[in-house]
Amino acid sequence: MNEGHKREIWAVGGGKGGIGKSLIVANMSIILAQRGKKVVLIDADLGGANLHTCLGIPQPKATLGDFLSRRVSRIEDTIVETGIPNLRLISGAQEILGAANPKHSQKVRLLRTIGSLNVDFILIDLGSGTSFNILDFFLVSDHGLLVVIPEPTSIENAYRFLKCSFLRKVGNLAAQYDVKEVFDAVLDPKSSRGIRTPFELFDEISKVDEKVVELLQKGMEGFKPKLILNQVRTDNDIRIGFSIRSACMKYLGIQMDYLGYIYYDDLVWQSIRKKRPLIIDYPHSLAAQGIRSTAESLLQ
Amino acid sequence: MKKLSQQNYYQILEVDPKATKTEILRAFDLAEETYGTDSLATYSLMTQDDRRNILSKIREAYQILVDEESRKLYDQYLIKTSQITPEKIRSIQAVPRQAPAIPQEKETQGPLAPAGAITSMAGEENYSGKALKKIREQKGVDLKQIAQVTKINITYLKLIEEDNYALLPAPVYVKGFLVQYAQYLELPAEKVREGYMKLYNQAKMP
Repeated sequence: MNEGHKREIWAVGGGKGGIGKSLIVANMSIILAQRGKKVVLIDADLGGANLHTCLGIPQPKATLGDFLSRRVSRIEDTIVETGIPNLRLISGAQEILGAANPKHSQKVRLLRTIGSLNVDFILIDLGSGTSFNILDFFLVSDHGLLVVIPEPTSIENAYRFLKCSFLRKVGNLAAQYDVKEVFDAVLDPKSSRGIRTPFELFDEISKVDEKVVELLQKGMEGFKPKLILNQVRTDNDIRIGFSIRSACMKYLGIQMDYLGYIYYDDLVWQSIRKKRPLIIDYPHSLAAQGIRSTAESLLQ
Repeated sequence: MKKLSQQNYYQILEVDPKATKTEILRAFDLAEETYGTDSLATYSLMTQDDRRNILSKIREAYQILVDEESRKLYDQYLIKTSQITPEKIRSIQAVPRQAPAIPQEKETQGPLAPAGAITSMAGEENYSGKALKKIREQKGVDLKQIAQVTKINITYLKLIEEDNYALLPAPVYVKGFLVQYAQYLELPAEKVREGYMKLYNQAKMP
């Protein structure tokens, strides 16, 4: 692999816990590895890491927590083999109380180091919630995948996750372009502007400075999260993905790609119970087919 | 990204300016579902008023685009105001009212052939996978297109066309796939589903 080699980063989030993020990211990483790609899977769910269990391996001794607290100096020393050719794992923090909330400097160091790993793909499993740590991993990726299940709580959290990611990215851009003052003034809680959507945010900024809006809108053109609908049972469930995509475009002004859907499948919990990867033990199951098809959409 | 108030009717309805009438109907159905009172996808995101406002714009767009005459006038307006170039709009020749002398071409605008073609091309009441495949090929539709739009895994679509019942998933899923497949090809979805499932069940019988 040469120095100019492009590492592709996929980050899987969703705002809510228990919606299948870890299952999807673990199985997608196996699919890529089976195709001969060198993959590192990172468990960035710092508060509740368990990707090792999805892959059927014991809890690794060294974790991201050790790297963050500098108990190990090189991130490579936290990488473990998974027993699956081409696939290695960096496990999330387990025992460090503070590791779930790394300092800014720790996070910058981590993101920089991850980007230098000598692999083809880096897949990141994000925890639930919308903390800055999670959003920053999502935003640093080449493909930010948003997992949603067709249930009210999951959909509600997914929109929150999207809005927070959008706002975080606009804020970062504003700082980068040195127009943070305008951004902060518009979002000042005392101003009572009651901004609900990115459209409204840009409207308010344009009242202060139209050129800043143009700049920020251009910078946001690359913000295109990808939706994966998990645990679908009916055709109506599948259509919810198209509805979410439409609402994102029409109401939020966010371009969302509906990447694919995965059927609810009893074999999923059977594989979890056995602590074995679904794609290996049940490669022809409905859920495995859905994950494979979704990963393929991303590779095209 | 443009705001709703700045979008043309095609963008509001999320269809291509070359969309067939069936595609417009389908898009409208989805929009009604998306912004309706009981919508799971939008209830937590927007207020009832927000949804009502969006839906009213969508209905306005639908009313214009679903009627051939008003759509034609609207297309001309888009071209005249340089909002769209003529090659991106359906061919004016393909609009049925422009060619009343050739009624069999009425539905051939857009990418798909008439829905009633199933019997003449595939034989009487033949809804086997192989017959469906033949129709699809005659309509010039690639299986990948169907997979992309319906989000059905292409492997399943291939298995359906191969009549490979043994590898197909449970009937409840197959029925759903068949309906979407048929709708895409503008075939009578219920008949296709029932016809195919009849063959499927016969083959599965011990």
